[in-house]
Amino acid sequence: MFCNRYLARGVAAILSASAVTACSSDNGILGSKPADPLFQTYVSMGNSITAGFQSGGINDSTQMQSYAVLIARAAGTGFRVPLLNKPGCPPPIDNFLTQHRVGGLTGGDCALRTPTPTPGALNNVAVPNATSLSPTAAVPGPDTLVETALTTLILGGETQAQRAAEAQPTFVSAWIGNNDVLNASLTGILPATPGVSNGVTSLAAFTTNYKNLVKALKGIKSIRGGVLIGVVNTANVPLLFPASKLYDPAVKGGFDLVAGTTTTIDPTTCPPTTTSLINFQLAAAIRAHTHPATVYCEPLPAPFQPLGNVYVLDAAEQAAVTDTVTAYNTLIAAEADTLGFAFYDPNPALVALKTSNAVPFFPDLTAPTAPFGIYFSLDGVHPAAAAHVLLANNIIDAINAKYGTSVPHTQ
Amino acid sequence: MNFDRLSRCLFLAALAAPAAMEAQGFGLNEIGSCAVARGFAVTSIPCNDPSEIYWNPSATTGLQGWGLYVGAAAVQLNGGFNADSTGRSYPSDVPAKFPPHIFLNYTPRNAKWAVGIGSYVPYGLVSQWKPDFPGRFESQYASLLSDYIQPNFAYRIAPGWSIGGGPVFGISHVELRQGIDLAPVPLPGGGGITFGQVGIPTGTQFASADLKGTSTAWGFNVGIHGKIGADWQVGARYLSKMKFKYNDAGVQFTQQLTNLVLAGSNPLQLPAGTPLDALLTPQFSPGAPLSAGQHVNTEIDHPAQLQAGIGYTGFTNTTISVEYAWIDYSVFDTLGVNFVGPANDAGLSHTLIEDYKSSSSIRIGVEHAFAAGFRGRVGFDWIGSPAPDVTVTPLLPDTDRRNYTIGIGLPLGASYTLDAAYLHVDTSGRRGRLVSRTIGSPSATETADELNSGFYTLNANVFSLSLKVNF
Repeated sequence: MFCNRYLARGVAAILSASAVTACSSDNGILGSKPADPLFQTYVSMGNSITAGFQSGGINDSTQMQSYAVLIARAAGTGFRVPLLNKPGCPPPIDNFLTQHRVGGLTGGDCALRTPTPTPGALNNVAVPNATSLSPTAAVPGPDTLVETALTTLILGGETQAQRAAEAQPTFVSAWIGNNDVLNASLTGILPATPGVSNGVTSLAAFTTNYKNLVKALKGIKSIRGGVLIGVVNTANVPLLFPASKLYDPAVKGGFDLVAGTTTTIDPTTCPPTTTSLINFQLAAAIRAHTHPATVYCEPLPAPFQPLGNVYVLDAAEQAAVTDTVTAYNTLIAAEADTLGFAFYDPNPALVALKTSNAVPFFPDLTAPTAPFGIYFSLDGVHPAAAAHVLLANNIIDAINAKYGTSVPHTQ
Repeated sequence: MNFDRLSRCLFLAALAAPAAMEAQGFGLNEIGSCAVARGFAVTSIPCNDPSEIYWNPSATTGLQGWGLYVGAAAVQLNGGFNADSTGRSYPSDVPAKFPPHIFLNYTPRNAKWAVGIGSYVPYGLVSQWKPDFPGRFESQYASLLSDYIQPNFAYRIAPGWSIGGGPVFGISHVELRQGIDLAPVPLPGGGGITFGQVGIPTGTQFASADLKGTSTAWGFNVGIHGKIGADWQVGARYLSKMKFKYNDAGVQFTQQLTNLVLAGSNPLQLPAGTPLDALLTPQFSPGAPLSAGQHVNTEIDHPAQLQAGIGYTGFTNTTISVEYAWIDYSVFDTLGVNFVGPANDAGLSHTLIEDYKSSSSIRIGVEHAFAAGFRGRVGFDWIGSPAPDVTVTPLLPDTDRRNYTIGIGLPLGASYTLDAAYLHVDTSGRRGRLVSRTIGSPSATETADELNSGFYTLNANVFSLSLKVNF
């Protein structure tokens, strides 16, 4: 029948993963009747958070916990989600200490999708890893660098903007831009460095990308409203913990437990007053012997680079990230005004979770299934179900305030 | 013109006319304007015209001399589908159809017998949807057109009682055009993994298939008619089942561009920017599953019909008839689509599950002869749908129907009468599905709640005109 050696080779690579393919009959919320005509058809664009990525993985359970799904449910509108079979693609981590994943599989496994039983446009077109460039990016192009198997698995050969247009939405949400700063924040390397860090997208490039997105939205004539969501200040993600906390013996003990050795705190770059943030993944790097068992909190001079730089976000870098995110969000708020959309800045709510200690400053290793509390998933970056509820309700408030609607809060 | 010449001429006309005029827009039995106006309740008290050859083959003994009845109906369907998931509506796109009918009868004066011939279309449907209709993979265009040619002989066996009937020769044309969805197609060398599993959305059309076939079959149509006392009449007719086998019907596959382009790091491990259409083009090459010049076999049993009723003529210048009709749609249980050639080798042959049940209807008709010389007619029908809840499809989103009819018979001199009728088909709509249900597939065991994904609406307006000529 079909005979193409390239296809055969490519498919063979995913066959092992497909062996664990499970059936998924649930294809999102179907058959609902919107409470307000504004939500006749709702489409959500974005990246991993909107897609429902949690704990370093994604499957049909995490997808249905996305704030976008919750908003659709609250608005009573039909919503098609590109559901990924369990255990996932990749399967989410279900134990922080062992890094065990659902189904006992690895981060390279993918259980593929179960196609929807009936034809119909997707409503959640968000793709993990997407940057501000992705929604309208030409293929092939620069966006290829951040594309993953999930790009095809979710979008099936089109862009987010194209899939969104096919749905003829009356209402749109877009939460894009987090990945323009996230990877740089986690690696601690702000300039783009091939193979190490994607870098921070410049404001000029971000502006061009975002205006392309806005142009695409303006081209969808069915849209009657929407909400643009600001970029998260990635310096605040729970995976980054204050280096000064390593002077707490309990924290240091936990860190060493994961690192698999007794680490040393470099007293020169890491005084007790340091304000640097350390990516907890440093402990894993030490365990894997890809980083010496010493924690540095400031960049070391050559020839010791990148020690003290990689996995470390020092005060200057934190300020740079914060300033960049603030500039991004100023732009996004202005574009929301241009479109007549609502705007929601998620940062105050997320910061409040940290300041109220609802999110621990350091992963709780005594709770390996919830080391970052109930609001953040096991990867320390992506919101968990409770945070999605919080975000959904805040966004609903912003929508109701903008449009005078009365979409109820979700539970 | 002698009988032989006239009959030959009209026989040929009967053969040609329905096909030329694309008969039958839907299964409405619009065979004669008088019958339409009286709600098809014309088996017990037949219309006084040669369309009795269909409606009650025995009743033609009551006609006199030569009679020709010819006409057509204009059928306009209005339907649509409202999708659950999006709330979007998809109106149907069925053009107006003009099913014709023609009957010729000869009843010698004071004779006990009558002879005639008729051409009519008791079965047929046309459904057509716009190219963006999500159910186009089940059916984008479907046409079933079955012309029945019936010589007829009737004989009066006793005063007031006649029997009659004749063989029926059927010519049936079927056409089905549907999109082909890429999502369920296996990936090349993918060990059963489909394009849908790697992200190609359900409803990604990459080809269309157009099936056309013709078949013939034989059957019969018989009837009995009698008078009970001065004021009552009874009648019954039976049209036999006819099995049409469409062998070696042509099927044409045509590639349609998806314009999809693979992103980087795609699961197929192809370079970013690879157009999906280029991967699919070989499927249309000679010898490939979707190559040109292939054939398909299928068969459709046309159900038997039974209609019987009673009529009252005791009111001055007024007749009332009440009848029951039964159509054995249970013979339409499956619809096999059996390809001959590479498409079959590729496993594309399939059998659609229809599971139709027998259908009943109640038909009521009233006619009044006014002093001014014309006749007024009204009627009402209730028709139960033969389609179960799991078989309300784009091919035929059938539902219970209510027919409201009205019409007039207008004499035009001594030899001519013009019959006109209007019929409104009203339904309440019905939930239905978009996807196929085939033997061996998971859908075969799914319930209506699981299968149906929207709501079909349907109504129709029919205008019918017939000219009766006595000579």
